[in-house]
Amino acid sequence: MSILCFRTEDVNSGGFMLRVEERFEVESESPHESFITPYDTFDWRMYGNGYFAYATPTSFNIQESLAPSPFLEREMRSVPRFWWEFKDDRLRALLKNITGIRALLPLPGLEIHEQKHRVRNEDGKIVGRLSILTHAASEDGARCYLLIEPLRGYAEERDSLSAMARKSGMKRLPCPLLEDLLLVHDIHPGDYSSKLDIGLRRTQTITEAALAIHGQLLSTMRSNIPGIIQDYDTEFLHDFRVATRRTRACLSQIKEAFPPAIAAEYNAGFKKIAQRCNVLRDLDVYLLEKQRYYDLLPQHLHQGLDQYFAHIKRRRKAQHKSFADFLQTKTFASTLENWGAFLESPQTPAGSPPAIEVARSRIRDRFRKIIKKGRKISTASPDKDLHSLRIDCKRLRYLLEFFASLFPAKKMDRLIKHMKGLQDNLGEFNDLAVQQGNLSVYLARSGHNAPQHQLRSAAIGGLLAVLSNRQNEVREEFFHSFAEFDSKQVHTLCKELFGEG
Amino acid sequence: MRILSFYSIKGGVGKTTAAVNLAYLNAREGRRTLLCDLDPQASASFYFRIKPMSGQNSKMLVSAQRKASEFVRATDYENLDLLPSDISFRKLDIQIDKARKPKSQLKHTFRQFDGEYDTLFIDCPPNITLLSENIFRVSDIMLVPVIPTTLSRRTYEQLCDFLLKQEIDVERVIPFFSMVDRRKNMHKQMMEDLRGAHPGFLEHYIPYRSDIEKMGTFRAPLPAVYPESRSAREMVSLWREVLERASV
Ligand SMILES: Nc1ncnc2c1ncn2[C@@H]1O[C@H](COP(=O)(O)OP(=O)(O)OP(=O)(O)O)[C@@H](O)[C@H]1O
Ligand SMILES: [Mg+2]
Repeated sequence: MSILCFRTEDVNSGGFMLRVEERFEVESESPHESFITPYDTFDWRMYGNGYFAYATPTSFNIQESLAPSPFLEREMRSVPRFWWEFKDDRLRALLKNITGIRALLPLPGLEIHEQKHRVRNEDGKIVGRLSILTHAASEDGARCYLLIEPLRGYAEERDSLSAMARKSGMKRLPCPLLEDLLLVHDIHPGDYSSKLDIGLRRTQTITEAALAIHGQLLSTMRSNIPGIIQDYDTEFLHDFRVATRRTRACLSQIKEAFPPAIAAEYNAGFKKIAQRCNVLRDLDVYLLEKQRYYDLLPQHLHQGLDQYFAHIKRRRKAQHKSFADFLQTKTFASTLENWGAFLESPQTPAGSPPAIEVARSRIRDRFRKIIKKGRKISTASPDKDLHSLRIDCKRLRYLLEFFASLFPAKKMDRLIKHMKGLQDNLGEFNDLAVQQGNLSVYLARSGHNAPQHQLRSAAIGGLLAVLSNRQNEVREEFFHSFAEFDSKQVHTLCKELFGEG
Repeated sequence: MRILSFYSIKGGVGKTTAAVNLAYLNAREGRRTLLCDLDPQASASFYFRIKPMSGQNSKMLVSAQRKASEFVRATDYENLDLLPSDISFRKLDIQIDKARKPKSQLKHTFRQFDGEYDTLFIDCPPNITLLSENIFRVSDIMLVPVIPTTLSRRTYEQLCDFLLKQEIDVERVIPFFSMVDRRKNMHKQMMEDLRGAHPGFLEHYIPYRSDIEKMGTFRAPLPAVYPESRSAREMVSLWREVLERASV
């Protein structure tokens, strides 16, 4: 039985407590004030999983969002950013699952006055607990809530308390309490996700559709900028880059939407922005995968890797500073501003075709191209053929994501699932190539004479060998992944979704 | 989920008193606890101010149609729930006898609480019946209060004989002294004799005390109301010893 939450203007109004006292014995606890700071990742992973994390000045707590009290409470004066920085095992395990590589960030604090009451029946048995919460000083006046915490086996009493609340003019809160409280600060839990979610209508023209897509992507870019500058975690940059890539893919693949000159101009502009952070992202990935590298090598070579990662960290710091500086330049600001202004009042070509038609034919073409290219790949093909196929798959994936809302969701999900194996395979192949390239450059540039350099070279050499072996394996696996994609099922699915053209 | 039952052939020896207080202490330490009041006298339910059920519900313990978990009620204490007694539990014996596997019926019934609770406490009615045989089979541990008197000694030994005959592991039985009056020499002597004859009695025991007797008036576990009292502290020590012995 979860807690019932009511919003009220003032608990005494409507005589709620009087009503309760008519029927039950009420025992009040002494009121207390608390100052809590809610925590969540930027993409609301706690909230999305039904949890609410918050800190008091002396503790860190997690509760289910509809529960009356935390199920995990740990003394702590400052809250670390990442799960692996917490000391407590249960907390680490839980946060690892939910937050992953994202940082837990503090939200604006909430000052809460709480008054609890125990409700007893004629035997003196507690049959319900009430809690009246008031949020102090906020612009739109105090917010007041009544929480009815039911007890197992006392559903009848809960129902009558709830009826009394309704009779007193209170309204059931349609969302978790935290969500309503944060509205005080104009914060809307769950309002950011890195997933594209564009609701297109079948009657829209391709220009209208493109505007909707670009609008969402621009807002994603904008909202990630402060996090990149502050360097909270690696995913701000990642999401920002994905949004620029999607923007470019949309500009180049959906040519009917805007005048070609404009599309080309912005495509080039976003390309420049993305190039400025390519190295930074690569370095982020290394650091995220650090443990894996260590695991690949025997213990006695780890020392060699320490030097390598110290070097990566230094480089990353410099790269981050330079990109963060760039994000604060006028040039960058005006690129986004101009793009935003264009989206507000676009120059649209006359006679823009319906989005659904463009989507169908573009997806069909890309699909055919992938099949044709993929079938040509043999054990003798050069690596660049696989890289080129990877780009095509990515383009197809973007198209599917842009236009997902125009097609039946279940079939689209199935198609994307079928693509995943192939994309993962090609992605890993590419990552391994990039990593080997970077390691080789590092090896060539660093000195070889001093003894610590020898250890370092041995470590890098060892890694190169392991990565190259793995890359060969991945190449062999390609044929299997591709065959799965080039299957009768997938062909039928595509025909059903996008027609025969 | 571990199952602990409080049992003795003899009535009025302190089973319910121990079950109520020790279940509370177990819950207070953070283990999710369910106390099952299987005695139709409903004393355990009474101590928690929970009304016994309406009188037709014994079937939930013997058939799959009604789930016992639907009848569970929260006590006033965190982590502690109670399955209230029902007057129809008087007829449990007959119903268990009619069940498909009369000797292990309750084992099946209590499985439904696996995962939901860490410890299940069972307060039993006195006597040896089909119900108590079921309880012997389902319990990981049986706590047996013994008043240090000649009569109690006899019934304790009867119980041991019975369990041996039924080939029920006597290791699972933990006897302890209850309602001990330290002013009575006879109690002291009997405790010594019994410890000599039956190793396995807990070191700690529950003395006869007026605050314990008054539980019927304040209707709550004693350590919840008088956490600092001697009686409460002695109960805590006894419970510690049980935990060490049985790793609940
Ligand atoms: N340690 C004690 N000191 C004082 N009084 C006690 C003590 N233990 C139990 N009593 C009282 O003795 C009576 C019987 O105790 P209790 O109900 O716990 O025994 P029981 O074995 O459960 O009885 P029954 O067989 O009827 O279920 C109760 O009135 C109880 O208050
Ligand atoms: Mg009893």
